[in-house]
Amino acid sequence: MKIKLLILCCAASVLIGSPLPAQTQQVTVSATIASTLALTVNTNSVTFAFVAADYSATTGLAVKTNLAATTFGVTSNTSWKLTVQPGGPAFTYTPTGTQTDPVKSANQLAVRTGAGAYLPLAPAASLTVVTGNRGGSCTTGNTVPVDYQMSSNLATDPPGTYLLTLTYTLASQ
Amino acid sequence: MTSPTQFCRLTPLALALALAPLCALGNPPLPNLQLVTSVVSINVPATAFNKSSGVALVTVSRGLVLQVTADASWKLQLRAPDPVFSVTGQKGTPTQKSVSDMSLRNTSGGQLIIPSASFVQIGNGGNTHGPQELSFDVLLNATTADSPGLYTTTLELGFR
Repeated sequence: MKIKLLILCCAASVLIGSPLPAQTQQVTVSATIASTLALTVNTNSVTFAFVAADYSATTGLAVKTNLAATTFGVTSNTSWKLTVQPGGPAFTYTPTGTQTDPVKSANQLAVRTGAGAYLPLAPAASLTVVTGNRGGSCTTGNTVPVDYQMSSNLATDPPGTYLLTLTYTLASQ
Repeated sequence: MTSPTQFCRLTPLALALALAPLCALGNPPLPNLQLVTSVVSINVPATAFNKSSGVALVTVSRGLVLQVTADASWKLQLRAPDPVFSVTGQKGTPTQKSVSDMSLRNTSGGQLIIPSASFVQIGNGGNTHGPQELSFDVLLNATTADSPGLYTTTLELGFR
């Protein structure tokens, strides 16, 4: 009888016992955020139309500007810089008549952002146009209007069409 | 001294009672919580960011799957002990990303649960009559303010 009672007591403590404590488990969450760099532009063409009245009657020089001719949008989660490089050292030339190519240098085209000075394009190098911080294109500083300025000289630029391709590159810095 | 007759009479009861705890060792005590997923991996690709706002919302469907077994009422709670993600492999200026940028969506109710330092209830119920699966979509809100890198945190689940 003593044995019976002892066993029953043990069983009671196993079955009833103290309340089960809360269980805890841990879950690891890992998120990989990729680097993002995206550049958009509102137009791929900028046109200057030089007419006779644009030239100085005395010096034969003309300078024309095209404000906010292109607007770039930047989306980036790193600090970034926007550079521009001309497609070659000079404009390609299509004469109106039979004139020869004057090999008009790319540095006769200049760009700027904001109210700063115009920066002539470097014929064989990239030029930093602007730098900025992380954000979408709605972030201040990530929508970049670019002004263009082109120079012409009656003495060196015969009538015709001058074409230059610019390549803009967005990179993290 | 115990007689042979007495010994035989006690054996069935003694055996049954002695085996009870042993049987309990084979099956986990109720209530029980099992993790089907112990690691939630979220990938935020470059294409996920909205170009204008710079916001990316990524959802891992059934990112967190659990299995509960209970023979009485139970409740499941969750918390994020650390308020911010720990970051490795980060390029550029370090970012502090709050764990509240993450949320869980209950698939049945569509309820959004934002982890916090204190426990929040994410489920409850009664007798499950066997294992019952609970799954949650895991959502992460990222922006271009978050530098590229690997963000990790731990979620703690409490079940009783």
